[in-house]
Amino acid sequence: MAVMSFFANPHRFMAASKWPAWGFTALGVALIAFGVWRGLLAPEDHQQDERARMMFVHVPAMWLSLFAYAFMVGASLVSFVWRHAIADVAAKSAAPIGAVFTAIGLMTGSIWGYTTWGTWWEWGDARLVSVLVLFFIYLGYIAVWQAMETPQKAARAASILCLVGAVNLPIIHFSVEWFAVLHQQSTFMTTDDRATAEFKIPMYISALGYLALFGGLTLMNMRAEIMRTRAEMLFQRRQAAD
Amino acid sequence: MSGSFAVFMRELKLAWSGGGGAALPVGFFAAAASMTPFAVGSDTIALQTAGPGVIWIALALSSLLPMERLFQADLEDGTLDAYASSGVGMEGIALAKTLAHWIATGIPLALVSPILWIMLQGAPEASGLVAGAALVGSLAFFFFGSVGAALAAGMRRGGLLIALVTLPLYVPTMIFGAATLDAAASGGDWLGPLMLTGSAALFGIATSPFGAAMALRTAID
Amino acid sequence: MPIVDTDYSAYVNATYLIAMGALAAALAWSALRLMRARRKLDEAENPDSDPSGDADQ
Repeated sequence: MAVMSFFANPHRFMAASKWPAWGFTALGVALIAFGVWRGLLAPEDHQQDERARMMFVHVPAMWLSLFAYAFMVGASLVSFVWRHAIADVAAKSAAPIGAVFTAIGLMTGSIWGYTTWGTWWEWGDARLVSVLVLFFIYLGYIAVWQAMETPQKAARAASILCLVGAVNLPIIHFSVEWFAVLHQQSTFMTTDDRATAEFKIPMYISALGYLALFGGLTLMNMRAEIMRTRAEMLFQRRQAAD
Repeated sequence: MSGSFAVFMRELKLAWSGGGGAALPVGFFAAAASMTPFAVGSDTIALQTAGPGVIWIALALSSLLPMERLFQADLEDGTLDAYASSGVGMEGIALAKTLAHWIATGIPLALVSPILWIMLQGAPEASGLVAGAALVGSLAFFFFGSVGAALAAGMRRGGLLIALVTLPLYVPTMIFGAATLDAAASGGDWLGPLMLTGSAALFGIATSPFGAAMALRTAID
Repeated sequence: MPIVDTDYSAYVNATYLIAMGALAAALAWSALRLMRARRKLDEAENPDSDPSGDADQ
């Protein structure tokens, strides 16, 4: 609570976020580079199927697609209840980054699915299909921000949509799972089934990298957003004075 | 409660007396479903396979049509303000307006659906079931749509935004409803999917008025 | 069961390429946005350094 009211002031947020924005980004890049190096350039013994190497990029993207949305839900809740300016900016800035992670998860999942089922898209995989719906929710959320006339109204509308999406996601996931069982697929292989300990640790490191990158990029976009708002305010004030 | 009932009666009268509030969506529904044979061919088996899904998609899109004007007109001419200042809760207003529009438009859509079903070579015996499923399904579509309608009410060109925001929320109703029609076509167990469609509708009725009300209060400010 | 190539390395490489490309793009986009916003803010805060206003745009 104290942290929240502390950051309600954009100036304090700007002062405190400068180094974390670059620091988290650098940390993310470093950890992901390690994950790529382990996964791509220095493959493990072939006890594992080669396809398991896709996990290093795919699974963390799927996690982050959900994590970013959960982060937006939290920020929207704070924004809605306390009308917290930084929370609005946080939710708005996280959305495109979350959408990128979701897109990565979908595309890599599609490739992984092709090596497993022989089709580029499998409607019987409830997890991928749910994330596809989540991707559309991201798009709608971003569209709401762009469509509203005033930033205040856009913030309210976007936070409402984010919360509505959160309430509906479990039902959507349930229905998609029900659908997948109905149209039974031959094999249900989840990425985790193939993971053994030696594969899991680099994957977790890679996931930490994704998480740090998400934090860094979100902070960068938040800073950009606050600077733009401030610049526009100054321009308007000068025009009013002229 | 009596306040929202008054809103409901007024909206219902308006929808009926306006004359043909349902004509446009019903016309779209019929025309969209009638495109199927041109796309999949006139083969009976092909039509029977595609029919349930096509009818259900057309129903969902037809339910989206009235959404653009669901709250927008009342927001523009200040009716919503008048409702709000008369002490009726915004949730009650959202519920009453959506329900009134469903009665005026959703029920006609459901009544037309068996005709389209038979045109797409569905078994005539299943007509009642198709109408019933469409009745429940359109109720769900209208209520989930009301949230998108309320979010877009303050915008000049909100129609496409409503579709983008609402279609993900349509997924459960889409799955369960189409499965009901599929079961009706193949003579399988339709009660389970129909019950699930009903639960999607109930969930929509229980949660959507709150989301719509929050959005409408923002739009009024 | 459809017959799929058993040499998966091309697919694996493609996933890495897509993921790293998308992340790099997101990073570049964010950095660019931040730089643009900073320049805009500088212009707003020091209008005197550029007296001709929007003449040079």
